[in-house]
Amino acid sequence: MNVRRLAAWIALPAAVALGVSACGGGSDTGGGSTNGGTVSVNLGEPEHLVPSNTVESEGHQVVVSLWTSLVNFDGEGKPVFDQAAAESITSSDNRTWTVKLRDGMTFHNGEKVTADTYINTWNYAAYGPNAQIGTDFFSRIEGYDDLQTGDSPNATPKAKTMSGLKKVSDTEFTVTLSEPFAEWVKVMGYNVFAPLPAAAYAADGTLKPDFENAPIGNGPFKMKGTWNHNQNITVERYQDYSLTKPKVQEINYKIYQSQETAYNDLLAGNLDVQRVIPTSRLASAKNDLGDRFRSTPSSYFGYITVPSYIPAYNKPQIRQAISKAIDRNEIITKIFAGGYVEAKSWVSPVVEGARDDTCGDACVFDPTKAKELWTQAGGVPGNKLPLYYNSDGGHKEWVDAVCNQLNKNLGVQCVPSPVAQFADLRQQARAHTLQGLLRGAWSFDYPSIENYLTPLYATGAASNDSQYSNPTFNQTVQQGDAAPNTAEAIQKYQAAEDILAKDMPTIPMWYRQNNFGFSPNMKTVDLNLFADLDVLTLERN
Amino acid sequence: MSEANAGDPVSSRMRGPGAARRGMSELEAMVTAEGHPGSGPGADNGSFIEPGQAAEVVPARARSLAGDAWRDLRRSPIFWIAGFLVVLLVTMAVVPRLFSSINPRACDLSQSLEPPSAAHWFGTNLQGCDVYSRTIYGARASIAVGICSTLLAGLIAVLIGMSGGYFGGKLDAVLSRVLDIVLGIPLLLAAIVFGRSVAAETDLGIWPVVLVLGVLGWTTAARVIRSSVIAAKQQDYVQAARMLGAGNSRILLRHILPNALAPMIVVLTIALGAFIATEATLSFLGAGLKPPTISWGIDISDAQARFQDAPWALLFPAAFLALTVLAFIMLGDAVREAFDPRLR
Amino acid sequence: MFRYVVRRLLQMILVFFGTTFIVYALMFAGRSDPIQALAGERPVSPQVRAQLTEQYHLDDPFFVQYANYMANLLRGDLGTQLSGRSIAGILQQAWPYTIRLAAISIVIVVVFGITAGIIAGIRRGGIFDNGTLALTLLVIGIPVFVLGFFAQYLFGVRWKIFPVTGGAGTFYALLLPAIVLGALSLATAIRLTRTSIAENLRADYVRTARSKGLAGRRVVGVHVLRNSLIPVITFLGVEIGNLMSGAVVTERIFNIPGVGYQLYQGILLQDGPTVVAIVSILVIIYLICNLVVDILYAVLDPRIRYE
Repeated sequence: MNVRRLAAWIALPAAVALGVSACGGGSDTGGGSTNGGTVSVNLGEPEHLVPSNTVESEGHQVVVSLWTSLVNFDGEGKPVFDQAAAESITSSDNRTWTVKLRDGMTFHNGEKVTADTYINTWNYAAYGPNAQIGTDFFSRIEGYDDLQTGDSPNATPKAKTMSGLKKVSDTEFTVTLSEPFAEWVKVMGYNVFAPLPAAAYAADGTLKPDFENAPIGNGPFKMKGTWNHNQNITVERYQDYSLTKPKVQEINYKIYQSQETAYNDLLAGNLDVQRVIPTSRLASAKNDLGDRFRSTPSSYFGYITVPSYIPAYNKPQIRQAISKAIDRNEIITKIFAGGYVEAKSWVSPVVEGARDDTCGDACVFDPTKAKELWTQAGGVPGNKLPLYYNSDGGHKEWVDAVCNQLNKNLGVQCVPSPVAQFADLRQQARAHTLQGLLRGAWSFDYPSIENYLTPLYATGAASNDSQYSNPTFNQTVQQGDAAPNTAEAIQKYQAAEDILAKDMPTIPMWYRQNNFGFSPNMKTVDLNLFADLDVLTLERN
Repeated sequence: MSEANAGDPVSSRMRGPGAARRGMSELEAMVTAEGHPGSGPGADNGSFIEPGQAAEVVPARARSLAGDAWRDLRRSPIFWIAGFLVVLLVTMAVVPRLFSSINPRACDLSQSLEPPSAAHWFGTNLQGCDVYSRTIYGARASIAVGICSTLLAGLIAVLIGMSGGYFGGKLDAVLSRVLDIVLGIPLLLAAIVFGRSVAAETDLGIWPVVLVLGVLGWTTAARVIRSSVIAAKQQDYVQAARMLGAGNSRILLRHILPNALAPMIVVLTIALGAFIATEATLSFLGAGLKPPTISWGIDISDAQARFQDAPWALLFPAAFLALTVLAFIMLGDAVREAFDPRLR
Repeated sequence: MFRYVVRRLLQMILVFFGTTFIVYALMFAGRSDPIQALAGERPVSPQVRAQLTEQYHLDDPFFVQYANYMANLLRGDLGTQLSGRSIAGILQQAWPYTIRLAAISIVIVVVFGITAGIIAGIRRGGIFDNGTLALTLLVIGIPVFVLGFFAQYLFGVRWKIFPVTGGAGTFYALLLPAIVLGALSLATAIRLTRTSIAENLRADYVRTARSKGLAGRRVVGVHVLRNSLIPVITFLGVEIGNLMSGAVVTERIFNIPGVGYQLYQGILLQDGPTVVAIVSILVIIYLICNLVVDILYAVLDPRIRYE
């Protein structure tokens, strides 16, 4: 029948095509020639690449390739200046800081990096109408409030420059804060403080909208071509970089929609480095990759927020009961394949002044005691305990596990409640309509205890989802801010953490490691405390 | 008899542009049309009256299409197998306790990802829940979603497809445009918005998902029905019936619907399976059924990430899903063939 | 016929407005805080919030926003996302991938689906028929994301026959994703064709044709096929649009930067303009396909007349 012949007509060329293409095989990720070669690294599609607008991890990774910070940090989170854009940052009173820039640094387009560059960039970022997402980081600088529009968004701010920024010379400027803050030097290491060249601005002083498609920075790598949205971003070694040049010639940030797909690409040899191995593959990663699977410390802190606006949850026994009913280590073993570490405090161990066990007995797994405390306190209304989380973050597995444990150990009906986005949850929390526990996580912006305290627990702070408000806590933290030196500041911050341990506005769960993997082409791959791939030490075989 | 014509695939044996045939076949057409389209040549009586022969008028028992169909179904082994499976699955959905005494929600993390054993027939999943028990209990939500959304979608599809196809003209234009509008609405969007607007406190279970699937999923079936109806209504027996004074509803119900049924059954039985699987995809995208509901879709979606470590956690719910799909497709096949006039 | 086509084109305009209105309303109803969605888990300062609300008219009443949006859309200005990126630019890059993917998919479905359906219909009850039934079950019973990841692992990582991701956009890179995407449509097309063919083979005119001595090939190829194709074509006409809008999961698994990804992100990030822009184009595609299918009815069945 002609039907059969028709089928044959199709099958034959298809088979030939398949056969021919099968010889194609995997792609070549770039040779390791003497010039250092190309390394492919996975990335999610960034939101922005303008440093003052970049506060998420993917954009952050690209920004730290293209820009050099004023200050770097060692493995313990202490400021170091040897590969930084600043030669030194000093202050005698923790209020006025003198920044001495390294001489000879240039932007990728040849422009010199001067004190003016920094002052102009920071004023732009702080100026309210420019709507830079990272603007809050400048709020401690004197004069910041004059650049805000206040209550009416259409008003013009009083000033365009902050009075706290003063140029001393081409390579030196001072930053005066409105209040003394011992940790300020660390804050300036965050990427929002990176300078922009004059070429970034249009004639009217606003940023060229096209600038972030091909950003120009002062870092070890420069953009090669433009940002291919949803596909890739390629950066290449900046030959005129005045500090130690990177070892690889080129980094190709390949953009993936799914971590699992990136992992499959890594296994197939099409990807050199995966910065975050998905939780579901952590168990098999050790087998698949052997010693090409690494875990290094990161600043990530996972916790569960308890809503302070619901009276039933305010009894300390309730919070302790919940905390003691969760077997964190079992979840870490079974779900995270050991890639996380149990948290018994509210500050990640990677920062100076962190203590191991501030939570004490309240974080010790003891189901019997937990049930006692729970019954004593009278449980929660309706015996229903929703645990909210955003469904797009890969949290379902551990949330389900926590709920199962709470069900079993407290006899409560814990309901895992996914919501499409974290933004919704935060809004509901702020509106006091969230009726249960909420998952939360925090990675530091700069390596300081203070960064685990103020943004999460200060009254009205932007990430304070529990709506916790304790004046003593606020005062203690402010005393730490005003302390004359780091050691005394840390003492105060530790006292503040002790207040948290008593009140338990959040229940500590775990600290995450950087769990990453790489292909056999790579010699050195490292991820730092910021969960950034270290682009300077990156090296091919 | 007629030459081949470019007609519909499901019309009765009487065909033709109406031009060529005269005489016996037309009489035949009128007589058998008034009876039911289900009888064919070799059906008992009255179909062929030779000229000159005394007509043997044997008054036969009045037979309905349904009666004939039921007789055929009873004889079909596929019907019994499929029927048995469906009854088994529905029993599983209604009384899961009959099949499993283990609490599907009693999950022990220390027994995570264990392979099938005496204690856990289908093994355990990542949370340490018994997969066998979850599969049994999951039947309720999954089959309910499948049946309810298919019924909803089928009802809408029949109403719109038949009205549009039969009455034609402005009504058809309006209904077709409504169909076009519904086609354009993305399922995911509706699922997320519906899911969100239903407050987390009220556990409405499967209804948001059923509503979304039913309200957005009738379009293909409607178009298929409409095309069948358009073709069927051109048939001579329909003209004949109208000539004999049959009203619209009679024509629709007794002549057109049975003939338009076959492709619709195919599409709907496949749709049932597809709806259950779509629920799994919605769960994967975070917009599907929510705990504490247990469903195959949720289990498949959860087990997918760890498939290599524990294939049993995915394979068993998927096998049950496939079995359900098979049962309904077979049932649909059997029903369709029983109603098919040409299977003699 | 000409008047019919013109009428349909005019009706298309109505449908276009109807769908975009409903989708816009759905996005609006489902919107809680798109600005926060931009910043993810980080806080958004009140200044930034005020600025963006002002810039994108997020506080205006629904009908004002809708009217503004449609006015711009009709002028060809698709607007910008909250992140500042031009939607037209994004779609310009994304559509070619999706179109290519859907095109390869539909070709596979038509060629293999109809062919296999014909064979299965002719040899009802045979091995081929039962084989396709088994395939159908497999494909329906296993949701697309399971199939996708499994296929990716097997064919991309283990056996290295296909590339793991389809991002390269070449025919070969999109082949596996197209097969995964079209799997369900393929199964349905096979079943539909099989049923149609099986039914028509039992028709009297076939018996007549055969008894007249016509070759089987002609009977099937010329007569039966034409009759059987109407429901299949109906189904396929709608599938093209479905393949495009339903490719979210496939694009995610195979990392194809197409429209499905943008649609998914748009819904998640509560980005009304992007979602409505994509839906508008999808609607036009659906409408054109439906029109073509309706015209094809008239071609296949001379008794169907449009005036």
